[in-house]
Order: sequence, then structure tokens, then C-alpha cells
Amino acid sequence: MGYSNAKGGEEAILAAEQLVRRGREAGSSPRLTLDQVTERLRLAVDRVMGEASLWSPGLASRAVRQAEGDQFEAMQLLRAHRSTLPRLAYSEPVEVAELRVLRRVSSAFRNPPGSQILGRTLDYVGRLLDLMPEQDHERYVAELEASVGHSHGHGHGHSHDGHTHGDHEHEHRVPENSATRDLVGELQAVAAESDDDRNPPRVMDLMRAMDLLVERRTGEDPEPYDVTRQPARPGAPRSAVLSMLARAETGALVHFWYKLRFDPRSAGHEIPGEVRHGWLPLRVNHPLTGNPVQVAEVRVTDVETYDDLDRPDEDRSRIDVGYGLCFGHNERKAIAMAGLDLAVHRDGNSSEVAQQVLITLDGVEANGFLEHLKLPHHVDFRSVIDRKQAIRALQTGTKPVAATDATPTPGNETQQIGALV
Amino acid sequence: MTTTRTLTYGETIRRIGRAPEDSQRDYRRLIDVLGRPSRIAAIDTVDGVPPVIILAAGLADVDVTVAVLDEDWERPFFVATGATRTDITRAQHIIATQPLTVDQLTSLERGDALHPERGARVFAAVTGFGDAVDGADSTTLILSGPGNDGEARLSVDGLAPEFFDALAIANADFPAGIDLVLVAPDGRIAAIPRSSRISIEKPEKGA
Repeated sequence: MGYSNAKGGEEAILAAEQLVRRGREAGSSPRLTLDQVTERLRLAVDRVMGEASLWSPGLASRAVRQAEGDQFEAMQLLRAHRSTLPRLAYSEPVEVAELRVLRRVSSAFRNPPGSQILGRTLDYVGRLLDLMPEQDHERYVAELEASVGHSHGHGHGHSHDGHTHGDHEHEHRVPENSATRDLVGELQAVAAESDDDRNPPRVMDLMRAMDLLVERRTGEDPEPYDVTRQPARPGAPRSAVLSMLARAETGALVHFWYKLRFDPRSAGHEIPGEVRHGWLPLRVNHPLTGNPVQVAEVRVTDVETYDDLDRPDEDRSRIDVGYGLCFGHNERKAIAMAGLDLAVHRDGNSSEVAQQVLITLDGVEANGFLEHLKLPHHVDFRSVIDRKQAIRALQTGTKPVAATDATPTPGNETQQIGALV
Repeated sequence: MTTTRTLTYGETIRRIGRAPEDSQRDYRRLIDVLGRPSRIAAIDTVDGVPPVIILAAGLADVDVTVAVLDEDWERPFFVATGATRTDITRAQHIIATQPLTVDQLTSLERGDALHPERGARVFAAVTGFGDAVDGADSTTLILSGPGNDGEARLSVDGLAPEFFDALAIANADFPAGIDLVLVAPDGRIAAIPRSSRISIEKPEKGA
């Protein structure tokens, strides 16, 4: 298959493969170790895990390295590998309230119960390209260590092996502020009940306590829709929408969300009640005892976002919520996801938005379709040319040039293209 | 044809359990014989466990419904794979250490034109592939269709001609039908996908 209809195609393909392999494995610098990829390119690894929908920092690092940093290629490698793995068990649902946070901010409340925990974020860091000479780096690290102190474990806190979870990252809290206390005073009472700042109370619970939320709970608990087993098509339930969003290509997701913000119906934008990054337990039922057992932890970004209900058919006295969750640290994705979850819901899961969320955001589908354009379309294109020439002949009343005369044979194709250019 | 369990229960389960790389390797070999009906390949065997159980275990996980037609191997198979035990008429995979009767074969799920993926896959133990010197207990099939340029022959020991007649009828409604995987005690495998047209070579008179 492939280029077999072009002369010398097979040798060319093999040579191209060789170039890929040699280029990847050779080079004048040392080969990247998997630890380096996981640690130094951690956000690339997180993003690949999210889009491939497989939690495995080790395998994702391999994919990133093999793909030479190409996010799409890495994601496709990992997703293809995922499809060959047996399903050992189904995990038990966990409450996202169990999330052990590394970072937790609320854009909705200045002093949310449990406080703001900024964690490791670029949100307040100037976007300045670091031009420090390479030879100064070591000294810089030494100074950094000295100023921070080793007990803080700076730079080593985050981890990929599931044992040390970066609980010692820098924290900066917003101090108590009496001016806002009145506003959320009612809510703070609930916060006082929890003194565990790694597991703060959820803003959503407080929104419910204030009776401001639309009640979306139905009391039903349907099995989630498995988008890897049945294609998710328009009309699919919310669990399918959320699954497709969680594994959507991040750039496509952000773009799609951004485009919706220009909808003339939408005034302003949603406001995240919480943006969290942390660890969630993974539990399965023990095959013999049937009791849930924690077998691993996964790191996720979790967002709940609130929007003012301002359409004529909506309950104007209430606020609605959207939810986003994805593997790894990828706040842009989780925030866009939460916004789209809300948008789909507000449209009654029946708008064009709902359809596009299901069918246009998947990285493998979109990029795969694009990549296929590079495969031979010789016959398709020849028929396009034939049609053009037939129309031209009709218009000018001349006899069409026979396709065989006008169309290059595979052997002299390059020449012909060269002549056209 | 059947192998009686001689191992402890725990050891049996451990040996049936497939690591992803084991099942990926066996799967590749299975695809190879499915793509070229009449070709014979071999999977790695595991001491004390029939190869038909090993091959099928590599393709079973919690999402697959299976019927194991062997009391001795049924329980350890399900414990090792986590697969869902299902009635023979509804199972996606059927594991037969003894020949299926024509009635059993006829009762299997075949799917339909819109849902051919629902058609069952049968993993059947056989005694060999034309191994017997005198040809006893051997049926020679003439296979044609995708994967074979013209006709190809496959001799199967330990399954009666009536079995293959019934299979040919069950697969007459392609793409609905049943895929058959044959596994010999030494780990050799062959396959007859539902896309193959089957006829039985009549033994020469006096043979």
C-alpha cells in the first residue's frame, strides 16, 4: 500500500524510515533519558497522557521522546498502544472532593473556604525569556537552594512515580481579608470544619449551601458511556461529552471554547469557582473480597466553572455550573472543558456545539484526516483535472485533450510538476 | 485432547494469566493465520495448560464474554482473565477443549449484516493438522476467499466433516458468521475466518 503505485516507492519508504530512526537515535548530544523527559518536560508528558487517555508517565515519556516532541505523534503512539492493553478491572467511582491538592485557586471568591493555594503556577510570573548563559546555571541553582533551604525540597517536589507528590511546593496564601468576609461569611463557617488544607471543602458545596445553584442532580446514577467502545455521536449522554472533552486535543479545545465566547448571545464569560491540581486515588474492587482497594493515584486538573444564567428561558435567579477534569496538569484544557460542558448543557445537548464537541475535537481523528492528505491522491486528482478539461472543452467548443495525453505517467511525474511550477 | 489439571489452583491461575506482551505476541500470530487461512503458525506453550486456553486467555479481559466448555479449566480461566462467564449461545468467545457438536455450533451467535462484530469466535482444540500418517481422523478442507489466491488446503485432525459442513452453513450469511481458531496440543494454530468458503475434499476411493 502507500506509495506502491509510484515507481521505486517501496525503497523510498524504507529509506525514509531509516532517516527517521537514524535522525532520532543519532545526534551529537546525549540521548534523553526517560527521567529527563518526565521531569523536565513534565507538562508535555501530562498533555500527552490526557489526550491519549492513559495515565502512564513512563509510557508517555517514551512516546514524547520517540515522537521528538511532537505532541500529536506522541499522543497517537500512546493511544494506539493503549488499545492493545487488556482491561484488568473497572475502577470504582471516586468523589473529586477526595482530591489531595497541590494547587487550588478560586477566581470566584477571594477567600474561599480552605483558602487559595497557588502552588506551582506561572500565573503571576512575567513572560520573560530566560537568557542566562548556560555556564551560570549551576551557580544559579546553588543560590536558589541556599535561599529556599533544602527542607522545602525545592524543585524536587513534583514527581511522576506516585510516591512523593510534591506536597512541599511553595505556597502563598492570600491573607484573611475582613472586607470580603461578610460576603462569604456564611460559607466560611463550613470551612472552619475542615482544617486539612490539602483537602479543602469544595466551592460547589458552598454554592449549594447558599442556594444559588441550579439543581442538576437527578438522583440517577447511570453507567458512564465508554467512548472507546462505541463512537460518541450527537445525542450521546453527558458522560460521553465529558469523556470526549477530557481526551480532546488541547489546542482544538481551547480554540473551540474561544470561538464560542464570540457568540452574540453570551455576555461576559464564565468564572471558575475552583481550579485544582492534585492527586486522586484509583480504587478497584478486590477480585476475591469485593472490597475497594486503592491501587494507584492519578494526578488530575479539576475545574468547576460558574456562569450567570441570562437567557430568557433560564432561571435568572440562579447560577449554573460546568465541570472539567483531565489527566495531569493542564489548566487551559480543564477550564475550556468546563466551559464547554456548561455550553452544551445550556443548549440542551442538542445544538451544533454539542455535535461539534463530539466529532471535531479528537486529535487522532482531526490530525489523522489531515495527515492522510499527504498520501497519494493521484487518481482523485486526475479526475479533477479531467473534469476541468471537459468543462473547458465545452466552453470553447474544442475537443477535450485525452486524459492519457495530459496526465503524467508515474515515471515522469516530477518532471511534469517541475514544468508546471 | 483435553489436559487434566495437575497443578495447584493458584499455580494454574498464575500460568493462565497473560502479560500484555504475551497476548500482543500471540495476537500477532493469530492475525497472521486469520489473514491467510490454511497457514499454520505456533504460539508459545505453557507447561500444564492446554494451548487453546492460553491463546483464548490472551484475548479475554473484563470486557469479553466467554463460554469455557471444560469444567476443569472454566473456573481458573475466569479468575485469571476477569472475563464474564456467559452462556454458549450469547458468548463472544467460545473455548472448546472437546469437539463442539453440530447443535452447539449452530446455536452460536452470528451477528447480522449490521452487527457482524457480534459473531462468535470459537477457539477449538484439535489433535493436529494432518499429522496422522494414515490420515485417520483427519478432514482436509479446501479453503477459498480472502487471504488465499485461489484455493488452499488445510487438514484438520480431530474434528468431523459434519462440523465443517455446519460451519459452512453458519457462515453462508457473510459478513455475519463465526470465526474459527484451531489449536493443536503442541501450540500450532490455524484459523478459518467467516470470510472463507469451505468445501471438504472427498477422500479418494480405496484410501
